[in-house]
Amino acid sequence: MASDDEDDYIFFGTPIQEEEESRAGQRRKDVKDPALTKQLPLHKQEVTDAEGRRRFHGAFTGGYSAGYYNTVGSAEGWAPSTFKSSREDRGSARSQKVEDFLDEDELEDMRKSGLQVRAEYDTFGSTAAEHARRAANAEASTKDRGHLTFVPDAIITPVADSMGIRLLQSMGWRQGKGVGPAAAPDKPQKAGRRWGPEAGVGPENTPIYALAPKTDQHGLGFDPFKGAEEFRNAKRQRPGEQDREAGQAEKKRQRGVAFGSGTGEETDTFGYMDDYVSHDGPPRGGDFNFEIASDEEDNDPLSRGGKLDPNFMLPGKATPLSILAAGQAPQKDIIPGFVRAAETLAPKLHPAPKIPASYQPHHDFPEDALPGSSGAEVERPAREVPPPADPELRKTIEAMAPFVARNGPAFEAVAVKANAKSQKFSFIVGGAGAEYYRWRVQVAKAEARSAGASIAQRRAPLSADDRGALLGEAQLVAAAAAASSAPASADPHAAGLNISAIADSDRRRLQETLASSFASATEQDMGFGGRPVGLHQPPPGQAVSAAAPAASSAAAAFLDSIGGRFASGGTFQPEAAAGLQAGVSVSDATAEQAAPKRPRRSVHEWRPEPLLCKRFNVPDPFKGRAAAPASEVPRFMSDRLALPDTAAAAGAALDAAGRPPAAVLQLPGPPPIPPQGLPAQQLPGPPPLAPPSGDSRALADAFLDSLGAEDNGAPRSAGSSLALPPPPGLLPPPPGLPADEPGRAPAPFVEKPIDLFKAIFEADDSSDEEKDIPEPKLDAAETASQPEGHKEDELTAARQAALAARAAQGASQTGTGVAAASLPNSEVTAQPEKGAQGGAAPAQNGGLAEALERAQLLASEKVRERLRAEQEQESRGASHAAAAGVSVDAAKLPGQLGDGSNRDESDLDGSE
Amino acid sequence: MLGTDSVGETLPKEESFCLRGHDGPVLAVRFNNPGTYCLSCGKDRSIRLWNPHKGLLIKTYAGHGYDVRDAVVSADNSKFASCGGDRQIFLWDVGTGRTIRKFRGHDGVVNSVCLGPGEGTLVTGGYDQAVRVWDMRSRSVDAIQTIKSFADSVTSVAVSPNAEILAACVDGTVRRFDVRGGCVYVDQMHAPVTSMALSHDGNCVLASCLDTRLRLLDKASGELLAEYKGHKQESAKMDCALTPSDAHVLSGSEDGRVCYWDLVEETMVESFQAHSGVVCSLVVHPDGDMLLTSSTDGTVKVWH
Repeated sequence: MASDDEDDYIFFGTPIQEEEESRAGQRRKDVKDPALTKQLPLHKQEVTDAEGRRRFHGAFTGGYSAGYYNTVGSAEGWAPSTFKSSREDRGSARSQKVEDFLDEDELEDMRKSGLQVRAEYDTFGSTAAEHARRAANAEASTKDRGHLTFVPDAIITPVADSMGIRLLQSMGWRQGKGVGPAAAPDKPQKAGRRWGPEAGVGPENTPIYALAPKTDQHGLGFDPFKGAEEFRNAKRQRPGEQDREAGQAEKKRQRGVAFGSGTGEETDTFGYMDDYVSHDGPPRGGDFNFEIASDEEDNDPLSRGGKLDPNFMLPGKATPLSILAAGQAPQKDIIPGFVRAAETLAPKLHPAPKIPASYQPHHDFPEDALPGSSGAEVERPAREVPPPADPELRKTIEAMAPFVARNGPAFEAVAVKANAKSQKFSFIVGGAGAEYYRWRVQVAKAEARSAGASIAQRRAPLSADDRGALLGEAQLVAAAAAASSAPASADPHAAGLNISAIADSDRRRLQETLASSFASATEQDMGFGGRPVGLHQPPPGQAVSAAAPAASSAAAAFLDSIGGRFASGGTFQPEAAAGLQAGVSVSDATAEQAAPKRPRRSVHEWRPEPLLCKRFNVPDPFKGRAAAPASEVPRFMSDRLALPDTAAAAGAALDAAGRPPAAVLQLPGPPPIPPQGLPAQQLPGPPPLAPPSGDSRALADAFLDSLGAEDNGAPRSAGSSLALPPPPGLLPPPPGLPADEPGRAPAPFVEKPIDLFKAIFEADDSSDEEKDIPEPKLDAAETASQPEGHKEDELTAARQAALAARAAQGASQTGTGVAAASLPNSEVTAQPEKGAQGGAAPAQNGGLAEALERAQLLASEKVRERLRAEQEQESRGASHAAAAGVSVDAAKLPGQLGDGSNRDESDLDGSE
Repeated sequence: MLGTDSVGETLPKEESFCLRGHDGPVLAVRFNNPGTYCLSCGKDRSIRLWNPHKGLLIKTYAGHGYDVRDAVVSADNSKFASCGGDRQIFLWDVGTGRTIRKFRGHDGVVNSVCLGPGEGTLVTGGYDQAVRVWDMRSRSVDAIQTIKSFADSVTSVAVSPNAEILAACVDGTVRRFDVRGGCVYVDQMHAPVTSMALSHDGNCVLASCLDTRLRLLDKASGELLAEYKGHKQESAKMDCALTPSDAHVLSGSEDGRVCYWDLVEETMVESFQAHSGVVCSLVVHPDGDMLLTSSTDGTVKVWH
C-alpha cells in the first residue's frame, strides 16, 4: 500500500536518511565500547553521550544533547519509571526527586550555586560561622580518640571570625560596641578638627532600629508635621521620644518624603491640627502641655484604656480637656491663634446629703400601684350569664374555661382547630353558649389570680386539702369520712396500726425472709412495744444502750455499720472517715465499758460445686444427692410471705366469738338464676341471694384461717349464711385507702371531671365514656370491699350457672352424680378466691405492714392462678352445656373486672 | 502447741531498707513463697517487685486501671495474681510483665486474693459481698463457685491446707467453708473484720476487728482463745499476721506503729514506730527474721 502511494510521487535529490534507522542502530551499539565507533571513518562516526544518544555539536557549551527534538522523551514518548517486583527481587518503594526529571545539563545548572560570600569575609553571616563551627565539632567528635597526637585537633575548634570583624578588632572594637564617632552623643561634639569629627569606635553599640522606625499609623510617607515643624519638635522632646531619638535628630528631620507619598500635595494644616490637640502628661516646666499626638501613642494617658492618671480626675486638678494647665506661666503665643487660658475650669463637687438618723428605708406604695389590686380593677368579672340549656354544652364550657384561663387563648385556637368539623367547641368562636363561656373564662382568670396571690403570700406549706383545692380535685368522700371519723373513734385499734395482731411466729419468719432479701439493712423500729427488732445482730454497745431511746441507738447503729462499710471500701486515710469516727467511737466507748460479746458460731449446710471439690482434690460431699435448694425454695414467693399462724389465730378468735366455722365456706350468693328445675339442695351451698356485702371482709379474714387449716384438711360443713361482724381490731377499714369510688357519696351531685384532652384531641365517639357516671350508691362504711364482693358474686354466679347446666345435662344423660362430684371442687376453688380478694383489704402503716399487705396480695395471686387452671378445666366441661345457653360466663376469669351489667346486679344485691 | 518457743524468737524491729518508689499509699506487700522477693501493691495502680534483702527495685508492673489491693505469687515464681479496684483479677507473667489472664466477674472492688491448693484455683473476695473461686487449669471465664452468703464486703480470704476457704467480712463474721464437709461455719465477731490470718499450724484463725481488737479463734470449735488490744484501728483495713513460730501476733496500727503481742499471754511485747502513716500491710518472712511493712506514706520498709 505504501509502495503504491510512493509510486504516485516523484522525488528529486537523495532522500535524507531516516533518523529512525540511525537512531535504532545507535541504540543497539554498545556504548561501552568506543573501539567500535573508532573503526568507522570519521564522517560516519557519531558522537554519543553517556547514554548512547547522538550528541549535537555546535551549541553554546560544546553542544547539547536532547532525547527527541529537544525534548526529554523519545519518539515513542516519555516513558515513566516503572515499578517491578518479583518474588526474588523485591521492588522497594522509591521516592522521586526533582533530579530524576532533569537532564545532565539541567542538573549541572542546578548544581551551580550562586555567588556566595566566603566565610572569611562573611561579617554578619554568624549562622554560616556557627555552622562551620558545629561541623568542626562533629568532625572532632567522630575522630578516633585513641590517637594522642591529635588531641589538640579534638579540643581546638576553628574560630570563624570574618575579615571585617578582625579589622574592627584591630581598631579597638570589641564585641558589644558600636561603630561610629568615639565621643559620647550626649557630650557636645568637638567640631574643631581639621578632618571633621574623628572616626573611631563608639563606646555604645548602635541600635539598628534607630534608623527612624515607623511608629505611627499614618500612611507611608505621610508627614503630619509638614508645615508645622513646631509640633514635630514638641513631639520629639517628650521623654520617650528623646531617649529613642538620641543622636538622630538630623535624620528624623529629613523624613517626610518616601515612596508613594504625595510629594506634590498641599496639606491643609488647619484641618488636622485641632484633631490632634490633646493633653500631654504631667506638665513640664516651661513647655507645652498640648501637642500633636497620634492615636496610637501609648504615652498618652487618655488613650490608655482605664489607666487614667488619677491626678486628672481629682477635683481641683487640671481637667484633661483644659487647654492650659494651672500654674503655668503665660508665655508668648507659640502657636498662632492660641493663647493660654487665664483660669482653670474645675468642676464643682457637691457633698452627698446627710441622711437623718431616724430615717427608715421603707416606702408606702399607693393602693392602686399594687399589681393585684389594679389587675382586679381592670378585669372585673363580667355580669353573670345564665348557662346554656344544653347540659352537655355547659359541662364542656365549664371544663374548658379554666384551661383557657390558665393557658391563654392559644389553647382556644388549638381546640378549635382540632375540632374543626364538629360543633362541639363552637362556643369559642361565638356559637351557642359563647357568652356563658366568656364569663366562665373571666371568672376562672380571677380565681387563678387570687390563688396566685395567695401562693405568693403563703406562710405555711400547703396542706393536702389546699393542694387539692388548688388543683381542682375533690376529696374522696370515703377518705373524708374516714378522716373525720378517725379522730372521733377512741379505740386505737380501730384506726391505728394492727401489727400486734400478727402472730409472733409469722413475724419471725417474715423477718428471716426479708433479711435474706434485703441484706444490708441493720435495724428498724417496727413500732410496737419500743422493742428494737433488727434484721441483723446489733453491733457491740447496742446491748448496753438498750435503755436509751430507740432513735439514738438506731442512729448509732447506722453510723457504726456505715463506718465499717466505709472502711471496707478501701479508705486508708483515717482523716477521710473523720465524719464517721464519731459513730465508731461511740460504739467503742460503750464497748470499753462492757466486755464485747463472745464470738458466736453457727453452722449451715453449704454445697460446694463439684468442680470446686475436684480442684480442691476432695470428694464431693454432696455427690449423688439432688440439688437441695431447688426444692427448699417455695414455688411461690407468697408461700413464704403468707401468715398461716396469724390466720389461724384470727380463726380462733372468730371461733371464740361464737361464729360457726362453716361461715368460712360461705359462698356469696349468685344473682338469682332460676335453678332450672333442679332441687335447691342439689346445688352447692350458697343461697340464691347474696349476703350483705359487709360480710365480705369477714370472709376475707376467714380465708386466712382456711389457709392455715388447709393443710390439715379439716372439713367444714356448710352452715348458716349469717354474717358475723368482723373480729375487733383484726382488719379495720383503711383510713387512707381509696377503696371507694368517688361516686359513692352522699354528696348530691359530683361531676366526674371529663377528660378534656381526650374530648378535644380524639374522636367524638368517646363521649359515651362520659356517660357512665356512677350513681349515688351505698354509704361509705359498707362499701370498703364492695368491688371484691361484686366479682365474687359474678364469678360464683357464672359457676353456678355452669354447674346447673351440667347438672341438667347429667340428669338427662348420666344422672345427678356428675353434679354431685363437681360440687366440692367448686367449693374449694371459689372459697379461696373470696379470701384472696378480701385479704387485700387491710392496709397498715409501716414497712412490715406494707410487706404483709403485699404478701396477702401475692397470696391472692397464687390462689388465683390455681383457680384459673381449675376453671379452665371446668369451663371445658361446661362447654358441653352450651345448649343450655348459660355457660358463656363460666369461662370468665376471676381477675377480670365486671362490666356494667354485673355491677348493677351486685348493686342490687348489696342494697338488700 | 502454740507459743512454745516464744522466748528464743527475735522480733524484727530494726529498719534495714526503705523501699521508695510508689506514688501514694502502698496497700499491700507480699513475700513470694521462699521469701526471696516481695511484691508491693500501690494505690498508684502499679505493682513493684523488690529484692528486700538488698533493697532493690527489680520491676514495675503497670496495667491495673485502679488501685491494687492484694497480690499472691505462685510457688514457682513464674506468675502472680493481683486484684484491686478494677473488679478483675490479673494473672501476670513475672518475667515479661504482661498479663496472662484476667478473671472478670466480681461486681465490686476485689479486696483479697489467694491461691487454692495445688494452685489450681484462685479464691477472691470483694466488695460485692461474694467470694469467688476461679479455675486456673481451664480456660473457662466463669467462676467455679460464687459464695454469696455474705452480708457485706469480704475483706480477706484464705485457704487452709485441708480444703477450707476462710473469708472475713465486714458484717462481723469469719466464715469457714469446709469443702470436704459441705458446710459453712460462721463465727460472728460482732465487729467488722478487716483482715484475717491463719496460724501456721492451721488450728487458729486470727481476725483483726474494727473494735480495736485482734481475736484469736480456735478454728475447729470457734472458741475465742485470746484478744489482743493496744493498737489503734478505727477505720482502716490493716493486715495482721502471726510469726512463723506462732509465738507472736503482730498487727499494724493507724498511728504508724507495728505491735507485737505474745500469743498466749495476750500482752503487747513490742511496739515501734514504723511509718508516719497507717501501716496498711505487713508480712513476716517465712524464716521469721524479716518483716515488711507498707504504709499510706508511700513506702515499704524492711525490718530485721
